[in-house]
Amino acid sequence: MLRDITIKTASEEIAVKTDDSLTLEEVLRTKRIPSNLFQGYAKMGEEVRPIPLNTLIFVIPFEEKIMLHCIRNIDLKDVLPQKTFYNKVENPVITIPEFNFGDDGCSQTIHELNPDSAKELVKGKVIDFVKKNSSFNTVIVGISGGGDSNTLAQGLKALTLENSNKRFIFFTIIFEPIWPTFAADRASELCLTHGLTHHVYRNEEIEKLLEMKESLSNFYKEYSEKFGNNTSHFFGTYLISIVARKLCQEYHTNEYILGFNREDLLSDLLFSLMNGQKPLAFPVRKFGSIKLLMPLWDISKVILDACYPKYSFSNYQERKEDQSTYQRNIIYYLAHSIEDIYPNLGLSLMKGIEKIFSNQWSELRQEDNLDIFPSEYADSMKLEEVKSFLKKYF
Amino acid sequence: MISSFSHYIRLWRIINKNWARTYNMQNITTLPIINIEKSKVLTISKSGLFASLIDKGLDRLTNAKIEHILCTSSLAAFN
Repeated sequence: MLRDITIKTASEEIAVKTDDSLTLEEVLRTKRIPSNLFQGYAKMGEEVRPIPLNTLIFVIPFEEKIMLHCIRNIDLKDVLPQKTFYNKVENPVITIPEFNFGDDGCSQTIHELNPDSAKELVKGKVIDFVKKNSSFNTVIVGISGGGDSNTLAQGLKALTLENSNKRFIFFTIIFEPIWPTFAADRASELCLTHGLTHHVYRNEEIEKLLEMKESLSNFYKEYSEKFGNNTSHFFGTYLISIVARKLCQEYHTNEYILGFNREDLLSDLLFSLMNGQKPLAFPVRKFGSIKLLMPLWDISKVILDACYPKYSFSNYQERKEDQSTYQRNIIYYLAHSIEDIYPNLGLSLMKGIEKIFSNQWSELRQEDNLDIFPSEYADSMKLEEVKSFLKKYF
Repeated sequence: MISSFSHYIRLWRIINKNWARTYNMQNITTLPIINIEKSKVLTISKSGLFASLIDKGLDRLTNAKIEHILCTSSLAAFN
């Protein structure tokens, strides 16, 4: 059943009709309004009573008028879109809102993207980034086979066409259950299509490349026992990083690329900042003399995944019930939420943080010739434990 | 008659909604899921209202805090 609600601010009064099975909070959420900006009231005659926003509209007596009152004198016309323009494409996969401001109030442009336009967008950004930040002719590129990191391939291919001296060596790791075989197959297929050099590393190749003293399986088994089964993501990232840095040595280069995207880095930053810790450098991070380049740093995952919707869909379906820590789940959720509250809020914070910490990022120092670069916030006892564990395998 | 029928329909919707919430049935109207513990008397301290997420466990991403050692990044996890 529909019910009338008045949304009142200092500058206007908006009448809306809404389904009475919703709560007042849910009504505000459908209009992109944060619930902590409003107080609910039920009014009968001159009598007004405040009501919490988790109240279901249905339970408010029909005789009472419902009002949601803004608790600050914010003119929502300046904040929320009053006009919408569409940047349309054929067969869109995603839409990205862009807000614009001015004396005429807030307006939005909804950018529709299909796989082709998403790839074009990403390609352009990758090209610009690599031109600006990469100085070596050979660059190692780690791709997982998911929609996002595969997107790197096209942009980098375009660079090789422009500059014949530039060479990108792609690699993918197969290590069940973290990096499944089918993901590597997708990466191989993509690289083959684009005529790119692509190596797939399985357990034996990794053990050989990293000159491991024992098997990779045993390494992971002991790692899980020591640090918990819910830390496999961290193991996976460590593994791909050490393989990339080893390949840098093999190919006499000091640069490698991984597909960290906007929300990956935003999560990282949020975690550091809420802990009062200096963040790690981005979008270029140094590990000794080797540089990690992050050309996708300001691109949202949703755009990257739109480049290859079929690959992305397979990737989502392959995900098992995740054994991740609750902290990691929360921090990723927060990063995506910040970007959702207001378009590019997360990106704006990232750029501000980059400005504050430019040349003052948290330092990474190599330990005992092992390929670990602990941050200054690493616990010294734990570090010794990790070092002796690594020395058993490397 | 019409009034009582519409009352019945509305009541059914409310019961259905709360049922979905209680039994973790995910649908578009009930996300995020809220489990209602009806019989619990709330005697919980309000100090948590002013606590940082850090005080609620976000001082680390793993129990062993390996995020600062192995990955050289707080998260550094492909997802």
